[in-house]
Amino acid sequence: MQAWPLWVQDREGRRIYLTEERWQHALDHPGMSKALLDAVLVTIRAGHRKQDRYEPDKYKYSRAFDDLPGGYTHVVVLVKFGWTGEELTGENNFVLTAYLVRKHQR
Amino acid sequence: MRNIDYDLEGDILTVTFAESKGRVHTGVELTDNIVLYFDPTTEEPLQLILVSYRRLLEAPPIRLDGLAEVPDDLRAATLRLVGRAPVANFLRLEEGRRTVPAGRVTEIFLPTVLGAMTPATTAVAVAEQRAQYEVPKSKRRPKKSQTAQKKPSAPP
Repeated sequence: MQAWPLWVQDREGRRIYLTEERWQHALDHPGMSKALLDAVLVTIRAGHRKQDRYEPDKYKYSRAFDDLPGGYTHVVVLVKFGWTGEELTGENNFVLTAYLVRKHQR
Repeated sequence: MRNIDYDLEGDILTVTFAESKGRVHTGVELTDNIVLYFDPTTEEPLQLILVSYRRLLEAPPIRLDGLAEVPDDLRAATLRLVGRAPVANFLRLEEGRRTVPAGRVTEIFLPTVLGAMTPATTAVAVAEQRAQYEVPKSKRRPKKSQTAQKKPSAPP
């Protein structure tokens, strides 16, 4: 049994959490399964981070994996960064959703 | 059409055309903000994800630059899918000679209405929009509530 929400830090130490509700949302995307939870967390911890072109508080983390099902090559995790206003613990960075895509293997 | 889900907090529109479980499927990024899943054997669309949907509506023609990353065997099928309904109802390819194909996201919700929405009213509006499509009531999935994301009270 997972203790939701799950907390994880990205490569620069930003603390990000994943709620069970958001994880269930991610499971609605083709190919996503509960077995991919670790891959999603690894993608946040170690994946490539890119800012959304249109909304600067959203970032896309992506990472290639060799063992994804169905010929998929990458896990993508969308994260929204926010601020609650509290000085020390004010970060509110959370996963919006996650999905799989297939790209050229480099 | 099976389901349309709008996530107000993330401004993510997810259009599910058909069930993907139990069939072959693949998914490609047309851009960083647009993902299309389909059955490569039948070229039937399964799901379309539009991230930052309201901003995409206002954007000039969007270069489908993600196609450069799509494996060669899938690129032509992807373009064929985008060029016809039902995907074309949501993302219309721009005509003309371009080195990189471009498209415009089609409005299915009024952005002004969306902007005035609370999470609670969003569920109602999505349900109303969904009623315009041909999904029989008995086959619709229950709508998940989309609540505003509050920071957990006790982070570790």
